Amino acid sequence: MKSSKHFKTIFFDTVKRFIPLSIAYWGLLAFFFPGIEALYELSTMLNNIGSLYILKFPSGFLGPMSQFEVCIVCGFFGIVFSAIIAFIAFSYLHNKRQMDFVGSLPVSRRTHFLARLTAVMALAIVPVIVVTFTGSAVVGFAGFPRTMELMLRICAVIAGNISLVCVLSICSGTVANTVISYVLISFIYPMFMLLVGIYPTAFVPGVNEFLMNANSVTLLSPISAVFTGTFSTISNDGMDNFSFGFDAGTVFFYIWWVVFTVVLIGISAILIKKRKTERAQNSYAFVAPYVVIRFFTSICVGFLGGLLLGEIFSVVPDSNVDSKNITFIAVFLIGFIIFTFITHLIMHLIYHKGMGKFAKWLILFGVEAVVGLSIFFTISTDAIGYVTYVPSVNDVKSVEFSFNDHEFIIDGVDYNKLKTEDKAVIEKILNFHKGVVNDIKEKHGGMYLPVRYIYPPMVDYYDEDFEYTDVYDDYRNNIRLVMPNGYTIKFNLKDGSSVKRYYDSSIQSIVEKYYSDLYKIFKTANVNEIGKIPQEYAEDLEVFINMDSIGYDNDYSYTDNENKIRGLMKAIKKDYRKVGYISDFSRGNYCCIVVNYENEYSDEYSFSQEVIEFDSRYVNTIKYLKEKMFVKNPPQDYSEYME
Amino acid sequence: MIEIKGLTKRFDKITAVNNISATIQTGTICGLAGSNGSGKSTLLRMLSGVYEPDEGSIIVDGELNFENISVKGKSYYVSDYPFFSNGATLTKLASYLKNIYPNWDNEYYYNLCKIFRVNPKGKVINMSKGLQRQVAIILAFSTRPKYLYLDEIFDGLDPVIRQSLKKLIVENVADNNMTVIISSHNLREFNDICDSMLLLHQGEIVRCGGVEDMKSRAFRVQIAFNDEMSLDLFKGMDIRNMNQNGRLFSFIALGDEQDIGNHLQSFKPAFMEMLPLTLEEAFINEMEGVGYEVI
Repeated sequence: MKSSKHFKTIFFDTVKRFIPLSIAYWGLLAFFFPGIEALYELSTMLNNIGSLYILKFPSGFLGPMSQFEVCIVCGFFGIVFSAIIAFIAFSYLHNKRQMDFVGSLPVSRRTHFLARLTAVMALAIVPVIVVTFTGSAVVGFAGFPRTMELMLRICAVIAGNISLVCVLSICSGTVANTVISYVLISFIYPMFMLLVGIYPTAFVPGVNEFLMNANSVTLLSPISAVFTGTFSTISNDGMDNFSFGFDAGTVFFYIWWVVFTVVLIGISAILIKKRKTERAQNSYAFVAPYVVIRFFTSICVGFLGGLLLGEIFSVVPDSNVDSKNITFIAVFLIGFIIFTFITHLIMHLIYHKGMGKFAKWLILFGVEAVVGLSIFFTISTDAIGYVTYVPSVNDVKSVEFSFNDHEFIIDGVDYNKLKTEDKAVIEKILNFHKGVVNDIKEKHGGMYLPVRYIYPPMVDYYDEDFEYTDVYDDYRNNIRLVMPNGYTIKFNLKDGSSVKRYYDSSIQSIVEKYYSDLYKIFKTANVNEIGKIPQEYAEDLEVFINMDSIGYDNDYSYTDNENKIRGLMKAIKKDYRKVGYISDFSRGNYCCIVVNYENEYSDEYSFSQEVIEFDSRYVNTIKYLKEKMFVKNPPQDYSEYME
Repeated sequence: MIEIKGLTKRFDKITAVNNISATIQTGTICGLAGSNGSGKSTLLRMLSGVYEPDEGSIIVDGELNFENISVKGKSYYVSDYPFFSNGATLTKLASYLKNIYPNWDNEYYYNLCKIFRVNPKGKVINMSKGLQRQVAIILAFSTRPKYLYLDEIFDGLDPVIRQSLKKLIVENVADNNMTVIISSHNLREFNDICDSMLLLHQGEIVRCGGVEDMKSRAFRVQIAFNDEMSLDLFKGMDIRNMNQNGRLFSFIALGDEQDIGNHLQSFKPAFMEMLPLTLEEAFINEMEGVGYEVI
């Protein structure tokens, strides 16, 4: 008898068994997706005849709802249903009586398994496809490409989800252990990855923002991936809502879940032949996944527990950084060991249904403790020298420097970023950077721990006690720029590699020390800055005059007139080329023009503010100001900034 | 023919079957008896291809049986607790197995349904233990197996059905040259139908051979003398369970009936009776020989 006939028999038998559950699945999908759309259509129709006011949906509801419904309803139900039927369909592996029957059938184990797998795939995916098409038809195929793209993403993740349950079922001895393993992978893996990404980012100065993106955080967690892959991608720029289309992230998403599915099915096909029937109703059939799951779960919980206790108990008022560090490490160590051990113990009790062989598994606990603490100390002591590493000037080919929150991006190019290959500038920046990292090291006592109050708490912008100052007051009263929100520096080395460091506002007090010099370097090096941003993006100009020498008292002028902006910019450029950057900040010899740029042409709105300092040598600028645009009565909106 | 060669199966630290070798001829009925946990069910599971042996092999008609579709296609295994899914009915199971087993006999299936009177539309899971066994039996014989493995099949069957089953087995062996291996603790059933027996204890074969041979290997002896006699009289004989009541001795003697009789007659007893053991007695006797005694 051909195995294809066996395959078909087992396939249809499996499908038949799930008919009741499948009806519920179809029903739920149909109720929520085309159902709500149909309700909307009905309400619109009734509204038109003015009889059912209560069901009136907000304008524009239909489009977004179609997409959200596909994601939330189809995605959620698809993942949950596929996991449930996969658990049930592969539960025969965990039942000795059933294995007696299945094992004695004249069907190869692989054929039997693959037939069931195919049936589960069909049961979970076909309804999503049919319901999504039907739903789209109900709304007249509005937003059809997007809906189809979402459907494909959901189908890809459902396939991955089933193959994950499939492998776990083969490796497990009981259904309970399969479910527990699935849940742990689904939740511990993203948590572990977030920890790996967030911990250094949060506590090690210079780490380049959040290291992870949505794809890497949810690689092994279909239940998370179906939503993160659909709704957003977490990038260095933060949440990027509704990123549709085949960008790199989406392509990776598809490739990953297809490869994930294929690889896991391949592994299943190999393991099912090797799986010993008698492992049914035992703790596990193959130990490797259990070791990995227990390992990561214990470390993850231990790490979080240690950090939590460290945060709570390590605050020693009025102590120096060294004693704060030591206290934190001591509390962390105790917390880590306790939480790791408890997790290890609980997982043993769950997986083994008792304490049997616990002594043997203590070896794994030892490995968990050693690895977890090694990771912690490697990061915390900067064992690899990440924090203090500054490349030699001879190794650097070019440097890129930008103040955070000061970007002005047009078509992916940041016009406010300094990029130079000038060795003198590179050397200056290196020296500045060296000073910063040395100060950071000193301030931290060489340990990079989440100890509170290493830096003073950030001032709450809305704090009543906080004396509000803004850029305008600062220019007018202090002639000193408000500190930017940290900086990003990238050294492109001659060997092709690069060193990138990102510093946020937490090190503001350190940067402040070097800021005047740095700003001077930045401005001097970025000589063409004024001309870099296309003029059509200049939204308005504000002029702050604090100098008597050009014949005016302290004054202020504002314009958003395009011709005036263009004229003044032309004059500034002329002076800039002739005189260069004015670096003397002494009060009384200072004027500045603030140019506000707005980029509304691309999808992403960006805003930039350029400050151009000048003095009496900027004759063309002063002439233009005198003749064309000096306004004695500033607009009402800006009066609050005036004395 | 089934050839079992050096078969071993371990579960962690427990060796369930330890280096078993035996040959079971085609067209015979072989009984598997043994103490609890002796490895009978494990042996049947290996014979049916459910378990893979750790060592050794099972060769059926010249082919290794594990994951061998053609061997499995002519075998059927009824486990000690047959599995039936929640919604399964006899009809559904028959239609499933029809597509799986190459020799499925539909006509025979309907005949068996008449014999065993099971409701073919009823949910098997809701049936009594005996009826579930009958469902398993109907399905097993309908596949027209050449090799049939039955684990504790008589357990839960009423005497009428038990008799019908025995008849069915014997008919199939006689008519279709079927080979049947039955494990049971009820040795009376073996006495009725088995040609040969494998006696297992702690995963090893204690005795292997024909049922009659097994019974005729030992005899219950009662012997009385006119004079006081010493137990030393029986030295050199293979005897067990010796009881002495004055001049009356009763014991089990192992060996050839003729030899034992001649030897005892030489003592000139006043009275002597030699009776063959029942299969159950023979079983207990064999088990005692390996240290598994009645407390």
